[in-house]
Amino acid sequence: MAYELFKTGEFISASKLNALVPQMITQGQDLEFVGASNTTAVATDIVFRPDVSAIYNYELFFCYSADTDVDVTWHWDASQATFSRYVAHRAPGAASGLNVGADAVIRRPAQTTAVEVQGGDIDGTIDPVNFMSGYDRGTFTTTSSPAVIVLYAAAFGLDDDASPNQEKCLIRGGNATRLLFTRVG
Amino acid sequence: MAETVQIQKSRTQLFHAGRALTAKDLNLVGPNIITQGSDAVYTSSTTPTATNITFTPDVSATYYYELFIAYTANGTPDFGWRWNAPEALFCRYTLSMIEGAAAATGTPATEPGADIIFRRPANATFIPAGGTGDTANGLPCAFDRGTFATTATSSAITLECAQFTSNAAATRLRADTTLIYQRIS
Repeated sequence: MAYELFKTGEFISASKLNALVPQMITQGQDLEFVGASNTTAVATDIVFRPDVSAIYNYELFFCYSADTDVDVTWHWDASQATFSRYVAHRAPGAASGLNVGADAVIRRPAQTTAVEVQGGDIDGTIDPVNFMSGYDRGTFTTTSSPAVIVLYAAAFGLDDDASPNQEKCLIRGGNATRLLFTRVG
Repeated sequence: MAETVQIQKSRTQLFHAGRALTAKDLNLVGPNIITQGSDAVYTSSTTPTATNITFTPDVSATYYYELFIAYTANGTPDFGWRWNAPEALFCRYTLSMIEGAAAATGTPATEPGADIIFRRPANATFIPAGGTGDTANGLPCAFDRGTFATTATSSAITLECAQFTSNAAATRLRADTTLIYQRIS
């Protein structure tokens, strides 16, 4: 069914015109995970409240730095939205290096499924520096109850093999991780 | 849980209440498209040269973009690309096959596939895309998507390409290589 954002007789508002254009939310600063026991998923800055009873097209550009023995995960907390989610990312077990490449995982997970992406730095690097990417795009449909949607991230496999400094993993912020979304229904 | 997280206030906005609406404003709503138009051939050089994908964006603006690259090359020279954008900061996400990807065989071509490079490189970082043979069969592609933000100084943005490794055999940027871009704030 066609989505009619504009209706005859209604005023055109700035908010309606903005609804024609993708909205963007960015991760403000690097989100850091340090230490072997730090595996709890935490909320990122990618948090927003969509319209109720609506359909959106979305595209998440996910950027991270981690050693090859560390798996970064992300998932959506969206109690009042159903995602049709399509992801592409480096498979666990990939080698280190910016242009070395990796087996790719391409799948259609549930919204709460923590997809597991492989780091691209040599194991034992104290502060990983390679900026790797992962992708999550598709649509989501909201119910008639308002609720926020939150992107969560976590890191698994961090250890202290760089002792005395603990291994680090970073979800990249600033000019990096960002979500674009547009209402389409 | 989710309701306790902080909703980001600084979403992008293209239209603002109280400002006059112009035809130029409304034309910003749709995406723009630029195509390469003809094959560009690169031999025995890794110096990136300008393509037909060139344009001058608005100043002090943010854009979403998506570049579809079609190319052919043998497994040794491969293909490489970057952006020349002195007055724009790209948030660039790339997907490409590793150097020396296996050649396609048969008619129609059977693609053996290759490891994939998932990166978040800087504007001018020269990214490789693996050649699968300089033939009409097995036309590979690469992706470069994300956003870019321009400064207050007007300046062109140009896609530049070359061989990733210098070789006498030709590397080609194919004619239907296409950039789609849309202003979002």
